[in-house]
Amino acid sequence: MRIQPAPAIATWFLKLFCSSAEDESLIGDLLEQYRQGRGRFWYWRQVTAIVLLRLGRNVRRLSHAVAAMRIRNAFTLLLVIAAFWAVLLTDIWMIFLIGIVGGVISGALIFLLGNGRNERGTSSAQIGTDHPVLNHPGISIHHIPAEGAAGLLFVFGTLFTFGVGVPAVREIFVLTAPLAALAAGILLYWHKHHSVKIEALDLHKH
Amino acid sequence: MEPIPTLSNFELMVMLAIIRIGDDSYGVSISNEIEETTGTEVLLGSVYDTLARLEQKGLISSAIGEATPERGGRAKRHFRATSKGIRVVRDTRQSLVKLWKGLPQLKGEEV
Repeated sequence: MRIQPAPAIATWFLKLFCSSAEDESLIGDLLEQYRQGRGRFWYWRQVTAIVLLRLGRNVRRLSHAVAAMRIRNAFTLLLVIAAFWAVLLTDIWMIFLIGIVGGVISGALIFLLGNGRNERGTSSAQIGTDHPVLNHPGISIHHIPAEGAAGLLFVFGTLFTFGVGVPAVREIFVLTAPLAALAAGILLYWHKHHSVKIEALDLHKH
Repeated sequence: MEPIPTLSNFELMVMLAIIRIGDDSYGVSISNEIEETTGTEVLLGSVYDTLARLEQKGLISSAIGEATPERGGRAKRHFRATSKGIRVVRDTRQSLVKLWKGLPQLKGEEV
């Protein structure tokens, strides 16, 4: 008997959020039921429910401080992705403006995501006290070129790891990508209706 | 003394399904059992979330079983009710029976 393959995108989506050893049996159960004759719609419904339940469980497990940090990280990443969308889709001179803003933001993102990676070993009481990463002095105007370059490296690194497989990065990326598309749309709309104001900042003309 | 854990409606269904199935209790058989008994579709994710909670409460235990090709080479995870779990199910049944006893006829219920 020919085994019907499960919907590939749904399975990829499932593996994105269920990558622990404990989830292997869950994925196996889902495949077994699908191959017993359940439809693609059933499979998608199950995967969507599993992902939503998993996200809900992860959010419930976070402390308020860590949850706030996650939201801040996601929002920052959203801005970076939105900037890249705008760069890709609009005029080349826009790169200068967005390059500076995106560089500063993505430089800050390095430290914010550094926080995210360290959060498992950090109690909420430590945040705002003497934790070495969490209390990084921040972005200085003197460090914009270095941090901007590091920020761009980070963005490409994010895209790379998204393909290679660091679950935490992928999770943030998947969550923010739709919002980023929305933000890019807003930026493009704004650009269309306020192009005169942006041209006043064009460094090439001055 | 350790407090006796309480069971939600779905937790009780999962516990009963595990006890009914016996040795071959795993995600698929549990959700099939609940679907056949209640006539409604069960989300596998909900079943696994509930199983995790029940295991955390010490009402069930689990063990990794064999992997099969139709599961994409992934192993089954078998569940069984612990003695504590069976005691809690029994207590829950007694409580429910007491609550049902002497209940006035429900609105819309046929005699």
